Amino acid sequence: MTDQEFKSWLEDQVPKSPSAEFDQKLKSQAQGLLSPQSSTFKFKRILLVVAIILVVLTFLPLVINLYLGRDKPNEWNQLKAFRGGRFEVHDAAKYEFTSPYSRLQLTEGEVRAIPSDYPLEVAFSGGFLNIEKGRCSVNIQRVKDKSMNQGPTSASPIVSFVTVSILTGMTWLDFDSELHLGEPLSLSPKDVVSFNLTENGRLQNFLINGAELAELSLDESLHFLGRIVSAENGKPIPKARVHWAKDLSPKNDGKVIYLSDGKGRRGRYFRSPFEKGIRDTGLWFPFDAQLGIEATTVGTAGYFKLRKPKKGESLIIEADGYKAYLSQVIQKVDKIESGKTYKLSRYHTIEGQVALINGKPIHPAAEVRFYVTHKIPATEKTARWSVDVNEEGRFNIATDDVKEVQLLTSVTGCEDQRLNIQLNKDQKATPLKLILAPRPATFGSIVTTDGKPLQGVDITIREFDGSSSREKRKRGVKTNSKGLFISNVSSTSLELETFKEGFKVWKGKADPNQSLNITLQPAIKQIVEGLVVDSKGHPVKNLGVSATRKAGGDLAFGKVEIESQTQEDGRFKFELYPGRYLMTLHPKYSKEVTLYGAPYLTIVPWSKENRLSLPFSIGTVEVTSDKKLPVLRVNLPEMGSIQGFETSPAQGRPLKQSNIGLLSYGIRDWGTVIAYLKTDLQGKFVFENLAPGRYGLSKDQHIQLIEVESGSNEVFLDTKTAVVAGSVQRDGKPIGVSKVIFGRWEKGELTHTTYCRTNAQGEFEHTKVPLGRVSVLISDQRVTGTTMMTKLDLKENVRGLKIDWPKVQIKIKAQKSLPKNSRVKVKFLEFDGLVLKRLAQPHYLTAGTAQSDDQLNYVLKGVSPGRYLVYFDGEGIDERIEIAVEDQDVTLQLENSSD
Amino acid sequence: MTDGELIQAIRQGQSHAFDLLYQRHREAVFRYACALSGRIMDGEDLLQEAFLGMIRNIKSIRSTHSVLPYLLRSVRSRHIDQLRAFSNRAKAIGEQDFFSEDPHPESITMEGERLTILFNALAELSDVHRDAVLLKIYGGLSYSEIALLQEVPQATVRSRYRSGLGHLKKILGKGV
Repeated sequence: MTDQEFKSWLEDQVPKSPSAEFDQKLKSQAQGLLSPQSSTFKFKRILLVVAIILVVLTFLPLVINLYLGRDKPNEWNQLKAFRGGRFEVHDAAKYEFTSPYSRLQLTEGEVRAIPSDYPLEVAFSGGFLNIEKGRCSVNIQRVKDKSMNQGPTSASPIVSFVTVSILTGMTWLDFDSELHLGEPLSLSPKDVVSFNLTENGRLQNFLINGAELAELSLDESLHFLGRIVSAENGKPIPKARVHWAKDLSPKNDGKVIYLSDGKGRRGRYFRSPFEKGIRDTGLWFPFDAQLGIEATTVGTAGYFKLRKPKKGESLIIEADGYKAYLSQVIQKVDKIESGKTYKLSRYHTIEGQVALINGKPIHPAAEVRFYVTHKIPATEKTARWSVDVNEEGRFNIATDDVKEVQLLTSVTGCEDQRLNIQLNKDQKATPLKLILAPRPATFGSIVTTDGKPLQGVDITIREFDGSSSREKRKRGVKTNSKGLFISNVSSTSLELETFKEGFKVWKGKADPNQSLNITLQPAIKQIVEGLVVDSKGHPVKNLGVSATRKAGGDLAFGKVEIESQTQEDGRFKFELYPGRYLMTLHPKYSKEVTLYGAPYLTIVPWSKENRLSLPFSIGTVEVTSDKKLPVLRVNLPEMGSIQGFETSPAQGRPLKQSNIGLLSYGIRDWGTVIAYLKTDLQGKFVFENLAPGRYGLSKDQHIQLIEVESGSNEVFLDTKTAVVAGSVQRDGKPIGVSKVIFGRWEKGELTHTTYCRTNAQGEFEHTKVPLGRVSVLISDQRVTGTTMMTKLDLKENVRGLKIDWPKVQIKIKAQKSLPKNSRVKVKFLEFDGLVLKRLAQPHYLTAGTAQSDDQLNYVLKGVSPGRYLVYFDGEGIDERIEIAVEDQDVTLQLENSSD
Repeated sequence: MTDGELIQAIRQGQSHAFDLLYQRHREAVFRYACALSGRIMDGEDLLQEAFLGMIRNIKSIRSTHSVLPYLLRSVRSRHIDQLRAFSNRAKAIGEQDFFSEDPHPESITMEGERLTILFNALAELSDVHRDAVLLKIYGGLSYSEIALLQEVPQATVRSRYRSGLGHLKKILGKGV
């Protein structure tokens, strides 16, 4: 082909012109831009400029006042209020409020503002006003409503919303900042508005011309008005929430059901038009955010204002500590009465206090968690929420329309306790006294050398098995603001290790239930140096190095990470406080993927083709304050590369490019994407700089296991597949929407996995199952909590495969006392000669979990023949038993561990 | 009417001037955009943005001769912006989702398939070589116009174009 022919061939490959519709659309868009009327972009630009100028003009004086005005605290006396408004100040004493626009003064908790010519403008001032002496600021603003457009010349401006916030020193007071006035309020220049600010920042006695707001008359023709008082004493209830709620049932006769967690937060349940049952719309969210329901708060005198109701709505009133009011569904809007008083009665509350069995109070650093569980009326569901417990151990549970609640307590240093409480609506429950039994715990205090408590010290607690040195468990805890800590333990042999930046590490043994008082000595940073060389001994530069400290057993807890980089000579350097650090290498620009003790080293430098890489763990170093560490030398292994082909030469080359992923293959980290790339037109792909070891190659849903050695490795993706279709059932009933996982095995190794799902009728069809010896797992964790298997020798398409859930059971009886409802887990070990430990994904490995009944019996149903590992998922028992299951039920006796 | 005169007329809000200018350059811009993005839909998007962008910035266009290089440059920079946004999105949704991305429905058509093959071959060229080939063959620019656009001597453009074309021929050699 000549150049000219090639050029014209190239020209033919690209379409000549866009579609006629596209042309038309573009032209009309262009016309829109060109016509002067709709040159919105110009207009927008002008608007933007005007807005910027306005913002600058508004805030510049404030900023100037902030930075320059401090020296002139008395100037406020002469300042004018914003755009004509004026505040008058009485009894200048404690605080002085100044601003370029207005003056306010706080005297003994009272703010008095006297609007002058245009009070609306004063109220509308918006931005923060600065205050000398303690840097307070007051913000008075109006709610948006139509009357705003009346402008400053309006004869009776309206204020309907006031916000006051105060900043003292550099801290904002948590301020009860909102005062909603039930009805828009008319102010004239002669009106005096005043209110008190209490010490804790509450707004009280909002007075207009000396009269409380409650005396304002409300216009009933425009709104739905009402008043909310307490049923017990007739006093108005402040800050109640009022809503129109629409029932979502098709006939409007359904009932909206609410449950409270005692804090005014609610779970909402309602009947939806599309479902027969009651639907959970999500638990515990602020009430007023859902379903487009209108909400407002009431003023201090208990009045509220809502829009007029619509047909099919119900009125809902809520207030903290009171039972919610729910009206009938409104059928005829004209007949609904406005201006009524609603009496709310208090919740049924249970008061109580917790103490330890020996009369001691709960440890001040203990984590206290109380959960209340009860049935949701008219449903099969249960609700669960947490209850606050104060420092003295007192708590208060408020419930509504519930006959019985279950209380679960979980307190550090105490045994968990479950309690069923019967509620009688008519009687006031006697205060509960909860007695908690102590349990083994380690506790104590940490101070500096001059006796000050140290907050936030990371403490790692290692538990050992009896007298042996085998580490059983690792926990982490932090000291509280008083330098105190407490942590549950399950062993008598403990070792504690502290870490706090700037202090030496304290390490020592501890006895459970004996207070440990530690004094930490100050420390300085130590220099840690290292060198990274490749397999030929040449230094490796520009490699990222990080030192990570993880406290306790929790990865997210107290994590500190310091970064460095290797220089031209391959050296890196850190300055670290004493402690244990995990050193990792990672190529620059790489995404970090944590390898939990993966047995293979993997380095994939960043490049255009393979974008991700794994860090390589050098190991843990212990930095001490008295000994300098030797230079850490890291020898990288000789790297390997994969020259891969999407198909074998016999199959011909593929028609288009496809995505190939490189996955990690470690016992605890399997299937993490290390890198991915597109094959070229010949189906070829290359991964370079891989550390020798095992990897997975993925294409679509296929995963193929490969072994990479130093140097070049050639790999063909084996994509010969067959169709497998069939159905899954248990006791003749289909098992719908469960995962069907196919795993291909070769020489006892899992080389491919792929999956599909069953439909509602329990049928499945997977069109690309790799040929060979294939195991089939049915994973239906949501419904049955069990995974079962069958096997195939796949040579051609298989249809009509019927998989019956096995009926064999594993029955377990635990002998000693264990917490009720403890869980036992069963994992696959072997199935039909296939060692399933290799199936490293925990999800595939778990054959099932079971919860005990009151007599500590556990039953796992539907277990297929094979070998399993049985163990407890939690504390109390430390037994792992391997069992073989054939075609009969298996019964097991388990005993508690030594403690 | 030259492009410069048409630009003058568009500034005064004359929509028929835009129609004329669009008719004059749409083919070159569209073909360049398609080849650059590898998809007809993306090509149309780029074409649209280039022309509408031209109207928005009509005051700042100084060209009195041809407006085509301006439009092509605009297509190229918008395409780079899109790629950047796409790569950010890819980072955000995670690589796993990347694998499951279905082929674009358009690539199933003959026209789309041809374009995809060409696009993949073009991706093998270096940026400067690809640009020279695309601007010359699909954008219809002369060597001197490309030289002005790329800010390099004419001789360099000529050599880039030739070597790019040769390389492309080699890559596509089996398929042609």
